[in-house]
Parts: sequence; C-alpha cells; structure tokens
Amino acid sequence: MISQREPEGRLWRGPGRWVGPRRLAESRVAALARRRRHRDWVAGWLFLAPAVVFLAVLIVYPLIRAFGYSLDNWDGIGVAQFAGLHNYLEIFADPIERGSLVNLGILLIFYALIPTAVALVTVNMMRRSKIRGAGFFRVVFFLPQAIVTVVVAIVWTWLAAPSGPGTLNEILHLVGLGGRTGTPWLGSFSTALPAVGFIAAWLDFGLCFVLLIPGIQRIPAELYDAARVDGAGLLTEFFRITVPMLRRDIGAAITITAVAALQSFTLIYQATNGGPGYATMVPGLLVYRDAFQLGAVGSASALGITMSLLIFGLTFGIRALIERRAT
Amino acid sequence: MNTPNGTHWIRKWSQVAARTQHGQGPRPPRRRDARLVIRLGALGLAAATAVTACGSSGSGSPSGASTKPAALTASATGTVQEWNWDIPGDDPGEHAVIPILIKMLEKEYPKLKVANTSMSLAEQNDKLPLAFANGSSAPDVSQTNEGLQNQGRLVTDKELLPLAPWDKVYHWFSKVGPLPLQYNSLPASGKTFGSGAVYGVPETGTVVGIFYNMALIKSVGGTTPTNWNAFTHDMALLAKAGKTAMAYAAGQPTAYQPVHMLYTIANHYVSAAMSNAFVFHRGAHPSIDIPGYVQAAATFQAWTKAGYFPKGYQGLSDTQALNLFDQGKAGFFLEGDWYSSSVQQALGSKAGFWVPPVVTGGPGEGWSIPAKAPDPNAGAAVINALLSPAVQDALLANGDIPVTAVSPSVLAKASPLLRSASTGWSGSVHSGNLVPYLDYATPDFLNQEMAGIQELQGGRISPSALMQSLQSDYTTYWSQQG
Repeated sequence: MISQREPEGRLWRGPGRWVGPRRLAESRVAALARRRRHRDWVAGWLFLAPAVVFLAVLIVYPLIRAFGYSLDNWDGIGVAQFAGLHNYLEIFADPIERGSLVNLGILLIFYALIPTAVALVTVNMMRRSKIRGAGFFRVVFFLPQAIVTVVVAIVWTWLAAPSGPGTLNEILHLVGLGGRTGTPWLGSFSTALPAVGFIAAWLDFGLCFVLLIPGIQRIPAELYDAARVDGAGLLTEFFRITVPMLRRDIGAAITITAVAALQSFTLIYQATNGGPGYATMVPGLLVYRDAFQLGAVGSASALGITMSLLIFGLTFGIRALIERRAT
Repeated sequence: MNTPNGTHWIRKWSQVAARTQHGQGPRPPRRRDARLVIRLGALGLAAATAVTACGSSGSGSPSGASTKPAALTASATGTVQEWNWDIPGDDPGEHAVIPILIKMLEKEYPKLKVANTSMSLAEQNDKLPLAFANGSSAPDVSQTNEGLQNQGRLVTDKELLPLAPWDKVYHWFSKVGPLPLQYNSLPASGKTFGSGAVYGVPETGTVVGIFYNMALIKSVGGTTPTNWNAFTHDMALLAKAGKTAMAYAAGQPTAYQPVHMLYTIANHYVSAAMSNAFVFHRGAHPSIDIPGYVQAAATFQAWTKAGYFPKGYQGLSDTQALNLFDQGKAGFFLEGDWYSSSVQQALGSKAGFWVPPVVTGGPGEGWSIPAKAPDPNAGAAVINALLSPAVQDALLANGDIPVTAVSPSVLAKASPLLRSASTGWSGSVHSGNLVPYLDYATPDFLNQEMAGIQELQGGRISPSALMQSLQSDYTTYWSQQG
C-alpha cells in the first residue's frame, strides 16, 4: 500500500492509522538497526568464512571420513568390507593396544605435568629474583621447541647410548657413578619409558615456560606486596597468588602439552620405535603401523578416532576443571 | 573446619592492593556455551553417519596398463624413474653399483635420463602401496621386498605387472634360476607366495652368515669356526677371556640383527624343509611352535645371559655393532654377506666368513614394474641392464653376490669373504638348504618377532611363550585369509 503524507508530516499507514513524526523516526531507526544487524551478520560470516572452510576441509571432513573408514576392513587401496564396530572392540581386546594406552597415561605425566610444574616454579623464581637477561633464558628454554623433533630424537639417542664420548653414561662415569659402559637408557625395559618421557619433558618445558611468562607478568606486584605485609612467605605467595592467578595459563599449558602427548609419534618412532618389546609403544605409533605397514586402515582409523575423542574429552575436562576452580 | 580456598586470599589481597594502588584483580571467568558444543557435536555425528551410509570406502580399481612388452629402442626419450632400497647403510654394494647402472643405461639410450631414488625398507613399506596406486606418482621400475608385507600387498591391490611377458623379450628367468624367482612368485590374490606369476627379478643373492676375527679367536685359544661346535666353543672362550664374543645390536635405528640371530640359531635345530613349509604356509600344520624353534630361542636367551653380547647391546644400532667388529673388538659378527666389503676393508686377512650348512638367505629385493608405470618398457630395460654381465660383475666387485651364475675367473678376483659367501649361496640354492627370512611369513611377523625377541632377551618371556605367541599370530592371520 502506498503511504500518504499529510502536510504536518504525519504518515498514513492505512485507514485510520496515522503515524506521528516521533514514531516514524523510531521505526526508521529500528529498520536501520535491523539492516545493520543483518550487514554485521553477513560481514561476520565473511570474516569467519576462511577459517570455517579451512576447518571444514582439513579437519572436519577428514575426521568424518576417518570415522567412515573405522567401520570398514580396508587396506587403503582395494575394496573395503563393512566391519561394524569390530575395529573399536579390538582396541580393548588387544593387549598391545591396551598396553599402549597405559604407556600413554604414564607419558602424560612427563609430557604435561612435569614440564608445567617445572616451568611454573621457574617463572616464579624469575619473578622473585628479577634476573637480568630474562629474555635470553626465554630463548634458551624455548630452543628445543624450535628444533625438528627427529633431530631431537637422534641427538638424545646418541646421548643415551650405553657408552661413548659425550654420552650421559660417560658423564656419570666421570663423576664416579657407574662404569664406562652404563645403562642403555632407551633400550632397557626398566628405563626406556621414563627416558622417552624425560626427553619429552625437556622438549615441552620451554613451551610451558613461554606460555606462563606473560601470565606471571600480568599479576600485579602490589598483590605480592600486600601478601608480604600480611606475613606471607615464599610458599604462601606461590600457592595463594601465583598458582591461582595463573590457573588459566596453567590450564592452557597442560592442554597443549597433553594433546601433544596423545599425538606423540615422531620422538618415539625415532628413539625407540615402541621398544624394547612394547615398553614404549603408544597409540600414535600403532596408528602408523596399522595404516602404512600393515594396510589395516580400518583399525588405524578406529584408533585415531578413539584418540581424537580422548583429546576432546581431556581438553574439555581440563577446561571444566579450570573454570570450576576459578569461580 | 572451614578453610578459605585460593580465591579467598586473592580477593582479600586484591582489595588491599586496590586501596593502595591501581590493583588489577583476577579476570572474570568466561562462560562456556555448552549449547554450541552440543550443536557442533550433533552436526558432526549427523555428517559422519551420512558419509558412512553413502557406502564403503576404496575404489579397488584394477590396473589397466596395456603397453605391449617390447625391447626399448635406442632412440627412446624421457626420464626413467627408478626406485630402490640401496641406501649405503643397508646395502653398500648395491648402492655403489647404481652410478654404473645409470651410466650404462644412458650410454645405451643416449636420449634417456635415469632418475634414481633410494629409500630405506621402512620407507618402501610405507610409500610403495600409495605411490603405485597412481600413474602420476608410480615409478617406471622399483625394487619391492619379497614376502607378504610388501610384494603381497602390492599384488593383492593389483599394483604390479607380471614379468613373464618381458621374459619373452629378454630371457631373464633362465639367467636368475628357479629358486630366486620362487620367492618373487605370487598368485593373483597376493595372499600367499612361493608360487604363481613372477612379479620381481632380483639382482643379487644374500646369505646370513658369521663373520669372524681369526686373530682374536686365536688369541684366546680358539679354532676356525667351520662347524657349530667350534663356533659356540670359540664364543665361550672369548667370553671367558673377558672379550666381546659377538658384536651385536638390538637398538635404534632398527637393528635387524636380533631376527637374523634367531634364524641362524634355528637353522642348527630345524631342517630347511620345515622352515620353508612355515614361511610358504605349506603342509598340514606349518608351525614355528615346535621343539627346534623353542630350543633355538632358549639358546639365544642362554647366550644373552652368558654375556656373549656387548654390554648395552639394547641401545646399539646395526652400524655400531658393525663398527665394533670392524675395530677388532669382537670375535664374531652374525649378519648378511652385504657387510663383507666393510669387514674386508677393516680387517683384511684377519677376517673370515662362515656359512652354516642350513642358511638363512634368499634373493635380494626383486625389481618390479608397477601396473601404473608411465613406461613399463623403460622399466624393463633397467631390469635387463641390472642382469647384464657388466652390472653383475660390478656387484661382486663391490661386495654383493650376483644372482646370475658367476664364472670361476671372475669369482677368483673377488675378496675371500665374498668368495665364501658366494660359494655358500650357490651351494645352498642347489642343495635346498636355503631358508627364507621368516619375516616373510605374515605382514606383521617382523614387528612381532622383533618385540618378542627383545622380551626374550630381557627375560620377560620364556622361549616357549615366544614361539606360542608368534604361532598364535600366524594362525590368526592365515585363518583370516580363508
């Protein structure tokens, strides 16, 4: 219906419905706001589009395909046969796969908890002592992260060799601990898993350190001053201020390193290949063996999907824990 | 008692700080939108179900290479992609021959270029199935490992061409002989091996024997190891004298010595026929869980306990064990003939190579033509060049046993170690006392036995438990093949 305008500026909206200048202005503002909201909505999605496309194509789609493969018996090339949930049941029935999950649980301590704890203590010490050249230490501690993991593994394989110049055993021998030929740290059943864990902790420490540094710098110095006035000591400051204030940063560090643990492959493949026996076998290595060496893409996918669910669960779990404690 | 939690102290001190300075309190917690998580999860599940419902994965498309087998003409152009397992660490002899092969091919076909790609065995197992599936990534010719893990999988997926049509052109099979070809023969299903069409032609033969350092053995009162008793007696003497009896490694990068050690000990207790039946899955009940193999595992464990191996062997690699022997620090080194050039160079006349009467070995990796090879005839020309007298003699000169018959005059020029190896190879091929590498038996056998031997040496499982476990996996695999 065509609007009719009266001389005093009122707008005719139908028989007996005249809209005054105030309401007219309000309706125009509302329409404008609606249009702006729509524009914002479109712009928002346009900004998001690259990330959404990236995620959909490179993460969501492969994940969905992998789930499809996990229900099949397939060698990666030939014709697949539907296997239902057999591949998933096999994960818990097979002692090697079960054992790999246990190893993973132990490695989580080395990959996530130890480096985070050590980094936390280190950043706290650096805050208190106000060491000169903190930037230098930041670079040095972070350096292992910048080295290709294969190189890290090879170097540590040399360092952990039973004997030879420059090995850990040689150093231990020089200080009077053990003979010239010592423990094959990466080859012995009793030491292989902790040894791999130690390398992982060494690798992840720098990352945790760098993640916690900005957090501790954000804590107001006055907070510590107030606590000191109240008679708080070193430990009280650490547990009553540093840890609670860094709760979210600690959560982020643990999440990132725990996910790295769940995805661990390169270091273990290169350093021990899952051995001796299956002492350092982890699901990541089994996924690789199944998919590429044995042509069991279904089993590999089932294990991969299970690991993904574990990662989701762990991430949400850590986050929920942090959020709950923070409130 | 009601104790204050962490946030209590933060609040308290924040208030104090705020009164005095511009204090900044703890950040407010962010709320998590649980609904978004649920929605995304539901969306993902729905999409996954839709994709799964759409049908099974894999195309299973058979190869359709239709190139007519023919000899390559001298005017052939382009680049031949040639892939092999000839990395210097694993096979220095074959590695050394590659430049000779390329030079020879480029002389014979002046407009042809040869692109060489060398990779480790692990890389081969990983890469070949996927690379061969596509015409744009498949090479013209490639080495493939005998057995079910590599060749078996490739044949199952119809990724290799039978070589008989090119044999009609070049007559390779008569040069190589039936036994090396048997190892490269598979039925179209690829589920067994030892009979069927030939998919690979090897360039070398291999035997796993025992290198010994005569000077060191004599120094402890030992004798030349020409039989099992003399060999084990020498090891006991060396250990008693505080020497390393056997240069041995079981660490990383993956050392293959543990499996070669078990095979060689087993050959003393088990006949070649029984081991062949197990590997080729022949007879009523092919089995590794038999007294001979259990005895072999027990001997292996006893040698470990007796300290015949270097301290810390669990952390050593094959190369480190070889270095130990080359430096004259061990009496024996049990490995394949492919290390003979290294040993010869290091120890010279002090070294010897004993090939036991029943010996583990077989042809070197076969050369195969992928079904989707861009130019199968060019690939065949490479195989033909590998079997030429020039390349075969070069292999002998560089420390490998040529697969074709070696003339006595050429053999006379070879190193003493290689002469022993070559004689051992031809003798066992003719007598039927050659035992295939047991890891050919099933695709996962190598992984399982490597882990099992480490547990055996670590005293974590008994010899009989190791054999029962390997047999159980073997039986499961074959029962699934139908």
